[in-house]
Amino acid sequence: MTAASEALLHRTTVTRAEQHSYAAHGHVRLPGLWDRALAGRIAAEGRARHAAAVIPRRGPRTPVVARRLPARGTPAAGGPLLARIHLELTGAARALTGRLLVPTFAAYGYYEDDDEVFLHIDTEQCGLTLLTTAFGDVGPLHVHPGLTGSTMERLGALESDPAWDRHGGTRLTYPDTGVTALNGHVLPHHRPGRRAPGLRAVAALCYRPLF
Amino acid sequence: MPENASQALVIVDAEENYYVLPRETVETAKAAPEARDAIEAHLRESVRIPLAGGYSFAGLLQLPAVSELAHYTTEPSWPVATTS
Repeated sequence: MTAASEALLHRTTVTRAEQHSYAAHGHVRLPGLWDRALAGRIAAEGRARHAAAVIPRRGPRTPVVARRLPARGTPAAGGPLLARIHLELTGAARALTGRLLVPTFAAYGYYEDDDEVFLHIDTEQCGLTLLTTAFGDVGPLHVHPGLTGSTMERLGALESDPAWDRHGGTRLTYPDTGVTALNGHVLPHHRPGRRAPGLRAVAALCYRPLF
Repeated sequence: MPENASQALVIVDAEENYYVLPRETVETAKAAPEARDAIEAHLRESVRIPLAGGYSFAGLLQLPAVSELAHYTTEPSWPVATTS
């Protein structure tokens, strides 16, 4: 085996408990997929790729009132290491969901001074989303099973409503050396956001069912 | 497959290892009708070997992770807010 084809990951399988948890809740933590050294390489690539990041042309669009518009979008960029991890986790993604998933995109999303994410569901490109912190301090993602089936307009109306509890929902954190798997095309989710100086990044690995 | 939730499709490999696929798992994998042509185009060979409960083995699907069918794109998408 050449160095280029060496496996990056500690495991590319999922346990039955993880399968059951994902089926029951639409999300599950998958820790221990890689070691600290690879976590460091992900962080390094994420930082290096920031210079190439741009505001994506596509993605979930939460319609909110003008006063709720964020000051800036979230730049995103891919990277060769993240792409390899993405492909190597295809089998685990399929085993977790029982679907013939295929990779669609993998990217670092950069948050500067605030890691807020508006309430949304993911696009069809993300039938399964694997999320991890690339670098920096990223707050928990909040999922809302009670809002399943809501349109983006409904989610946008909640985001625009000052009375909506932005700290509600089920909090999900990301493992240090793995991912949190999320049925993001079905489960509405948001991150309340924390204002803190500096740059941080989330890595998202998306898969969609082929058939 | 019968409606009984306790039933499952069982396949076996050359070393006599069993693989038990619950009805729910099989149903989850049901392909959309519009995918029929794409599936048939990627079956290594077209066969119909009866299994049980009206199901038949149709063949092996050969699908490399990095292929035209993989829909892989270097263009990411990311959530953002717009004005309503």
